[in-house]
This record gives sequence, structure tokens and C-alpha cells, in this order.
Amino acid sequence: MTALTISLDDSSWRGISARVTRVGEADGRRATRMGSRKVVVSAGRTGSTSIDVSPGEYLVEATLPTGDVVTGMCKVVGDGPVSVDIARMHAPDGTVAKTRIPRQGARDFEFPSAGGMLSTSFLGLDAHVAGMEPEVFTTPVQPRLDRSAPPDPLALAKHLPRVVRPFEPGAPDGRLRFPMASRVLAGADGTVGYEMDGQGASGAPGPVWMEFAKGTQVRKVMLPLPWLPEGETPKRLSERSRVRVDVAEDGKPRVSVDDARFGAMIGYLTTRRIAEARTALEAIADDVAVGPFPADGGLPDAAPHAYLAACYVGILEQDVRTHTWGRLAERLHRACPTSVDAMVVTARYLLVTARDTDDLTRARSLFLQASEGPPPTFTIGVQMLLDGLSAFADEDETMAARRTEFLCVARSVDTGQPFTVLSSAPSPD
Amino acid sequence: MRTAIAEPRGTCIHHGVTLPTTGDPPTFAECACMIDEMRMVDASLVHVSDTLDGARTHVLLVGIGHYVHLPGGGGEVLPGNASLTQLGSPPQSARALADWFVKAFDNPERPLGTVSLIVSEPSPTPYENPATGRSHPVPHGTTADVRAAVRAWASRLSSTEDNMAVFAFCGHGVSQGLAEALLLRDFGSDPLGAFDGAMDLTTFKATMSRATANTQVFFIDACRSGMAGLGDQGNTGTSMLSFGTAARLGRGAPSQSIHYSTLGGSEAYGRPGRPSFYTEGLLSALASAARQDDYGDWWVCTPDLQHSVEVSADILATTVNRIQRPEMERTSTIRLTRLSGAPTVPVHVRCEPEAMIAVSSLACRRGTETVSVHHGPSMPHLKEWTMALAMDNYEFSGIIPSQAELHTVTQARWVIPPITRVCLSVRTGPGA
Repeated sequence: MTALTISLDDSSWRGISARVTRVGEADGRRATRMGSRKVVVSAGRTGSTSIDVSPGEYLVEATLPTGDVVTGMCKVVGDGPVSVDIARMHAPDGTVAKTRIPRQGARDFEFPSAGGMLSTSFLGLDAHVAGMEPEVFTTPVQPRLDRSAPPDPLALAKHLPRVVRPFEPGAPDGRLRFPMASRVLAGADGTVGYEMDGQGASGAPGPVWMEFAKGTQVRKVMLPLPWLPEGETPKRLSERSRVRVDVAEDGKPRVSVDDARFGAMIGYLTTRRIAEARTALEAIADDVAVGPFPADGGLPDAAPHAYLAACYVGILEQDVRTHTWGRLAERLHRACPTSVDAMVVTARYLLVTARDTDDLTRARSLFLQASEGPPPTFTIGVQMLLDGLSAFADEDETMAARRTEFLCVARSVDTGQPFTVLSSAPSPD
Repeated sequence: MRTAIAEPRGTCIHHGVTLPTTGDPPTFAECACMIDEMRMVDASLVHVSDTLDGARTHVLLVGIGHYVHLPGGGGEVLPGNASLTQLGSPPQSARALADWFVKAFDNPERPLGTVSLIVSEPSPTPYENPATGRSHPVPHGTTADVRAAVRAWASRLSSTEDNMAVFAFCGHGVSQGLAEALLLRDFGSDPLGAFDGAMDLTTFKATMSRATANTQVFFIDACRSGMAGLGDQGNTGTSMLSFGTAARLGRGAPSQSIHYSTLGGSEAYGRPGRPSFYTEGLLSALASAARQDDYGDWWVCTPDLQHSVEVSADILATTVNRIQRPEMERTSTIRLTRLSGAPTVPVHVRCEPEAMIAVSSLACRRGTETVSVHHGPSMPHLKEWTMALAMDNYEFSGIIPSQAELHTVTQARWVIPPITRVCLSVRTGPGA
């Protein structure tokens, strides 16, 4: 037997799953699959996984967090160890789009049965599990959307499951049914890999949910993807946004941000540290005035989440540049009409600065529209949406009914988190 | 049409004005004593200033300690809420805050207009106004009482957008995510609609953002832990107010500063017969957490107030081995009250190693004068020395045992508001 070492020298992800399939000639046919093994490969220079194989040719198929599958071949000829680096299986230009393995069909959501620490980086595209025996569990991803059709915000939003359902009293079994799911393989070495069904999240705008369970506590973590403009990919946006969400042993997410201004916003949204946030607001306002916004009205290249967070904080705090934040919110809304966050923050701006009933009518419309989609990515967005629905509820039966419905979401929110985290059971503390 | 005053004509005991012995009931102009007449409309009023002209501060304080339908309340007990008990602290907290507003509140920009008080306690006791000496029965804190008081308070606030609203609640609170409710005296009177006896705080905050008053301060001194049933069928309590969305057209949002006694999902603490830890911290902060403005006046503004109360409430809670971290939801900077002069500054000194405080000593000197000496912590369970000092430069000297040796650690520090913290550390090892 010979050691086949599979490594992933790429710090973008913590680990992925790979399938190692022996191929050979049988019955005179080349490339016949002769049994395969699934392995989990942790990332980094020291991360690798070795398996013993007998001499022969092997096909290594790695499922990347983006849902893409890259393949490579290696030949094991003697006793000498053989290495395959999955990162080098990428295309030379750095893109990973090569082969897709679509697998259609609905699959029920399954909760992980063991406890332990599960951390997931931004978008849940890679993850880390400590103290877990190898096991397979699933986590939901969004369905693939037909990108050839013109974007319809409501249609896009409705592709996501209404998260109120599993938490409504009397839900049949308290579990979500997702049209598609990805499988996660947890390795004993503390690494997990993802196997994406369908085309993964790479084509889907809007928030991405992951769901984690520990004991009876189930937490849904909305990974911060408030928008995904046409032509953008979650991975690229995640890299630009410099956000990382880890789910710690107590089941609570921990957010870290590698961007000073966005970090200041997150600091405000979690602990109301206003001093740093005000400084950051000033810097971001300068950006908005003269900064890196693309001429086509799109999103800035670096840390685009910070701009949305600035809108939230600036409008909530009635910053002296409230109208700057309002205009930016509208701009974000135009740039990505599918973003519930952009809808909510724009509606909030219109509500609090309304000069006439037209502003109120538009605010109402946006709040209503936002309530029909998934919850906002930011917790403060959930609060603003609830406040907005409440504001109109006194004088509008439709909004009153929508408020009652949305309350199911709002009361499940972990208010200590900057990004929306829903819990199906009361917090243990 | 004016409402007649029920009291007999004669000398106004409030202002000492002698009234005509015949004729119509006295008017405001005759005795400048509005409270009796206004109390006929709003029974929660315990203080009314001589005039309500111009921008004013209107205060509504609610302290709910007695819950009729919780164990020990005397009524039919609401099942399934064993963790909710009768509270001894909220009535004391509400009364202490009322006393402070009546006696010490000083805001020349928005002078005190009215103070309303609602107290739920086992034996209702009238509130004695420390400024006038008059005794006023107060409402008992049912939902109807609170709704009536809130509406009357909001009505007074609507006289001008320059008014300042102050709302404080102390009692049981519950929350589930963003749904928050404050439990009132009759909570649970209807087992099928227990939250009908609660105040919907979520909606109240949102509604107040459309109130006329441009400046609003809220103090919510209550637990924020979860409770089953909150939000079922959309029921998060009784909505106390309703303003149309067009109520503030063209005027933007008001400045709100919302202060909670504890973090979301956590509990707040108090001691029977005494104001809660948060209220004690708040009163201390109101007297000290000031900064000097451009004109040399010392003002307590809401961010400093929050900073100070965060420290003091947390420290007080440690005396009963509890953790309580106040937090702020809106952070508008509001000039709440002015001090008559430079404040006395709360000073908190701790030592490292922390456990050594029980056998350590602290001396605090100003120049050659020793102003404070401590042996062991200031209170049992407290891991700090606490004191209040005038602003100045001090030398803090601790004698702290560590690794079988006595170390003397000294720090010279300026004591400045809103709060000063000092750490005397015995560091050992390389680089120490």
C-alpha cells in the first residue's frame, strides 16, 4: 500500500471534502470507477489527509465550497508517497468554475446528532468541527435560481423558505424542508468538508442560512450576504466583505471582521459602542462622497457590507448625515433590489424623514415587500422592519397582520448578534 | 370648560396663597397650584411645576412590585410562572427616582414640568412630595392605570416639540428576541391572555418615535429573560399609545436614549426594601457623571450616564454574586440634568491579583492629606475598593500580598468624571 496525501494549500477555506476514486481499465474500458472513498481535507500548509491506496490511477474530485467541483488525476506506481494538492487543481486564472455536478431533488433537512464546536466561515462555505466524530449531516443552501430571467425581488426572496414556519407553534415536526441541501462531512481531525447538491449557492442572491443544533437548541445563522449583484459570486463577495462567522461550542455565532470601519459598525450593533462607530461613519461618508463607488452605481470593492451597516447605524442614530445615509440606502436598493436589508433601511429612512404622504406610502410599500421575503441579514434590520410594520399597524390591517406574522421571526432573534440569528428554543442562559 | 377643584376654598397649602372665601373655585392664576386640578384628569401626577409654559420635562415613573396573580399576590395564581415572584425593590426604585426628579433635577433648557408616579405594592402608600410636603395617593399599576397615565403624559408632552420625555419602569420584564413586555400589576388576571396585563415595550418605543417631543429618555429596569407565550398570536402586551405615521411629517425622528438595566436575555437584580442595583447606580450617576460644557456648566449627558451606571450597577450586583450589565439601545446624546458644581467622582480601585483584596489595604492621598483608607473590600463580596472623591490628583497606594511577599503598589491618578477606575497590579516574573 502507498500513502496518497491530499492537501489543500489554500487559506481561503478551512477544509473541503474530496472523493478519491480509483480508475482503471476493466472489461477493456478505460476510466471505469473502481470504488471510491470520501475524505475530508483540511486546509493550510500543515493540513493534509493521507489514505493508503494500492497502486493505480486515481481520480480526485474535490467539491469546493462554491459548489464547483474540480478534478485531478494522479498515478500511484510504487511504494513512494504521492501527493495531490487540490488548490493546484484550480484553473490558472484563479477561478474554480470547471465542472458542476447537479443533483436535483429535494432532501429533508437533518440535524446533526452530536454536540461540539462547529465553526463556519463567512457564507458557511467552509467549516470547522471540534470534538465531533465523523458523521454526515446536512445544512441548507439556497436553491439555484434561473439567472436568465430578469430579477424579480419578490420571486427571488420567495425562493428562500419562510423561516417563520419551523418556529411557529404547531409546526408538524419543527423541521424545515429545503428544496435543496448540501451535505457536510465532519472529520475526526476537526475538519469538515461540504458536498454541495445542485449548483450550490454561487448563483443565488440573497441571504444564506445555516442551521446548527446542540441538544434541543437549534440555531439558524443568517450568514451575512445581504445582496449578490448580478455577476457577483458569494465567494468573491465574502472575500471583499472580510467577515467571518464562527459558531462556537455554546452554539452561538462569533463574528469577526477584518475591516476597521466595518468592525466599528459591528461594535455598535452589538455593544452600542458609538464613539468608534461615529468615526467610521465619518470615513464612510467621505467614501460615499468621493470614494470608491463604481460609476455604474454598483457596490464598492472593499467591505461593501460596511456601507449597508453605515446606513443602518447612521439612520438609527440620526447621524448629522442622515440624508447621506438615506441616499446611500436608496442607491443600494437600486443596485440590488433583492436585498431585504436595502429595502428595510430605505423604508426606515423614508419613514423617519417623511416630508409628505408619498414618502410614507413608499415606506409602507417597502416594509411590506421586505416582510414578504426572508428576514434582513442584520439584526438591526429585523428590528427596523418590526418597528416599521408596527408603525403602520395602527392604521392598516394588512400591516397589522403582517406584523403579527413577522413577530414569529422577531421573537426568535438573538439580539446580541449583529447578523440575524434565529433560535428555535429559548437561550439556555 | 374648566373642572372644578374639589377641595374647599381657603389657603393653598402648596403655595401658601390665600384664596377668596367666596366665588368660583380657584384658578391657576389665583394660587398657581395646578396639581389638584390636573390630578382629577391624571391621578398619577405627584408633582407639577408652577408653570408649564415653554419646553418642559415630563417624567413618568412606574414601579411594579406587587403582582396580584403571581404567588403571594393574593389573587388567583397564574399557572406556569413559578420563577416570577413578588418584588420588593421596584416601589422603592420608583419613589427614589421621583424624589430625585422633584428635588435634584435641574435642566434650564427643559425645566421640570410634571412627575407622574405609579406604584404597585402590597400596602398602597401615598407619595409624599419632598418639595411641597403634600401627600398624593398614586395609582396601583394595573394596565388601565398605566395606560391612562401614559396617555396623559403623552398629551402633556405634545404641547411643544421641545419638551423632554422621561419614562422609567422598574418591575418584571420579559423578552423573546425583539419582543419585549413589561409586566404590570394585573399580569395574568386572564390566564388566556396573560399579556393583556403587560405593556408592549417594543411597540411603545416605536410609537414614541412618532411622539411630538423631540427628546426622549427611557430607563427600563427589568429582567429581559425569555418567557413562554410572549408573542403568541402576536400578543406582546397592551399597546399604550397610538400615533399615526404622519404625526411627525417633516420633522425627522426624535432623539431617543434608551437605557436598559441588563443585557437582552439576562436578569436584573434588586434587594427587598431598597432601590434596585440599577436605580442605585443610576442615582449615583445622575449626581456625578457630568462633563463641563463650553460655558463651564456641569451636565449629565446620557452617554456618560450610561458609562457610569454600567460600572456601578455591575459592581453592586457582584455584592450578591450576580452579574448585571446595563446596556443602551439608542445612543442619542441628551443633556439630562445640570449639576450645581463640579461633581464628586465615583472611584473604583481594584488590585491584581484580585483575590488578594480581602487581605490588602489601600490608602488614598491628596498631597500630604490621606483622604481614604481601606482594609479589605468596601463591601462583602466586592472585589474593589469604592469611594467618592473630589476632582483632583491623588496617589493610590496599595499593600498587596502576593507570593508570600507584601508589595506596595502606588499610582498617581487624576480623578475625573464621569468615573475613574484604578488598577493596582502586582506583577511578577520577567519584565515586571
